[in-house]
Amino acid sequence: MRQDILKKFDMVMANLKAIEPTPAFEFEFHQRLRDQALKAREELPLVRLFKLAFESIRYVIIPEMPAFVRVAASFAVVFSIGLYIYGAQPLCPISVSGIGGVTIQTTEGGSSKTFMPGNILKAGDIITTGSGGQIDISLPGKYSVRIKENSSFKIAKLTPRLGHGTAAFKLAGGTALIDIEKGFKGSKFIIDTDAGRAVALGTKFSVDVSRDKSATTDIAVVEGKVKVSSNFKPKKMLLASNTVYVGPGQKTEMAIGRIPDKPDRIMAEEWSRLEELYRIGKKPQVVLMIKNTPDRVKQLLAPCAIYISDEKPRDIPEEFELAVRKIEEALKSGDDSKHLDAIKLLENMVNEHPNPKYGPQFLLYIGSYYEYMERHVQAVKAFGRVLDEYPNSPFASIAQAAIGVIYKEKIKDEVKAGEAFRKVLKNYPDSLEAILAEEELVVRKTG
Amino acid sequence: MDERSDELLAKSAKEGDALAFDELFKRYKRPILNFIYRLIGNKETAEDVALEAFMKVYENISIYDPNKKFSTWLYTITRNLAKNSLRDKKYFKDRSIEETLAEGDENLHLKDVIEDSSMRPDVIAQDNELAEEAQKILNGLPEEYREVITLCSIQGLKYEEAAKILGCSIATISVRLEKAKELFVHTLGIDDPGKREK
Repeated sequence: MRQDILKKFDMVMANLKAIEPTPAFEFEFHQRLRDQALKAREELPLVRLFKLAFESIRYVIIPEMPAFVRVAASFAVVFSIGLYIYGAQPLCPISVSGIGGVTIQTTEGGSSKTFMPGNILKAGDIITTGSGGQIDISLPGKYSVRIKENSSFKIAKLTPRLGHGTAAFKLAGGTALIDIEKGFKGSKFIIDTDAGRAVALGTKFSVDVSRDKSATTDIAVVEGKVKVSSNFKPKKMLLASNTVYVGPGQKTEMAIGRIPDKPDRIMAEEWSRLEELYRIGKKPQVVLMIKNTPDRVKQLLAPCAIYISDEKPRDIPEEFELAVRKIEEALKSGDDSKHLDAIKLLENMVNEHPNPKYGPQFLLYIGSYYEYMERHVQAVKAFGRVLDEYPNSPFASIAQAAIGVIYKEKIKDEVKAGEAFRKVLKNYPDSLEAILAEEELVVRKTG
Repeated sequence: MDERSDELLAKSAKEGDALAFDELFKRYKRPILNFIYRLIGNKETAEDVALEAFMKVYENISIYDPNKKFSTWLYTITRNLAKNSLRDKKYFKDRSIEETLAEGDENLHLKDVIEDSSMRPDVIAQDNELAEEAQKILNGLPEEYREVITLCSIQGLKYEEAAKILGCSIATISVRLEKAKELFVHTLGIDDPGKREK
């Protein structure tokens, strides 16, 4: 009897239903791996420098030699180390993160590999993204490039920084978003297409190349300036130039056999696409303190805090500090009217300084704050603004789901709650909030 | 599908092959996550600890000895981290949401299943309620019993490997597992057939 029970116990235990990792788990794993890869890459030159210095010392200092030889040798060591620091800065960008189908065709033997964070890319490598695929590559502190879906992007030439370095790429089709950082000053960043060439002059910009024969190339600049030249050169007598300079907020278009258009203003609807330029490469400086798990909405309404890095981004307006002081005062006194004053200040700031980089997060914070004050209608309004003003922001799905939660739990309007959750599923089917929305809608049907 | 052994993969990862590490992650994410979950009884914390464990392995892959079994090394690291998190939990009681079942609780589904010899394994594997009840009972057992049951009974590791992970002898494992099982079924209330018949 006893043996039977224990045997049965083993069988039951061995077959117990296991828990499955959530999507957030794998996402976070790859994110952390990527951070590690970046860190390792930054450390690399220094470690190599130590090794080099150590080896030199072994060969130079240990043998008994006349003093003057040793002095000369030390100079040689110091000089070579100096040259090393100057010349051997990391040159090859690495793949940072990617989603969907991304293949990298390497020059060594022409073999293809699928994307992994931390792949070192060399001149001659060709990155191809399929439908839904996307990859970020970066040379930390220098530049970051996001290659969007259905693109073919070749690393044409990388030369070291001795004097002037060059990073040249060829975009055969598709879209690339480029963010060049301060550390790249003095070097050249070039993107070629079949229609022409874009040379960055310290900047954030995007390049789009159509897949047809005309290789129509659209270039839009958000910050800094880009020099755009077509491969087609008009006859001198036409007095037209094949080169234009595209400044911030401007765009141009060129194609095979056509010179670039005169730079024109970027249209409102195109801005939403360019917002993405602020999300590649760098660590964010304004962050809502919520974790990337399916309960993000709950965390947001808890309420959540907002974090501004010590090195305050220059585009955070002065009003923000005033608002922070008001919030602190309000927290101390516990006076509701003071809290409301503080939120008003924040709202004014967002109204007067629209900013695709931080706007959605501030609006979410405002919504969360109103919710904390039990002002549900105003909270819904603030979240609604995220949807109206920044529908493509990665935070939009959180705002949409938060509206649903408030309608359901606080305002008790089941119809509107259902509507909000359905919108999450429809507009943001791949978001973490879709999980929550699905659950809510299932409960509604069966309950 | 990569056919290479864990140890070969770990060796490649040691030499800088990022794909090899990803393959190891794919192979072990479920077992490791479940191992931690069984030990600490909280899904969210289990994911945090599992992440921590894989990152620790990644950071220390350079000191891994390919002549030793990779899984043993991974489990040992994971177990230490899980123990740390349990210790933290004692200080931050509010983080703990684990539930336990008290001795003598009636109407347990799990009890019926263990007593019913006709229940098929594939039916058991689909049953959420069963898994949760088992977890609640595990949560109430001493830590060292939870460890042996998880490693040997649930995950099916050999005594030899469990002994290496837990840092004790094979004999200790065998004795401890026996006691752990006794306590488990006792908590379920099926340890004493004679009493039941009365």
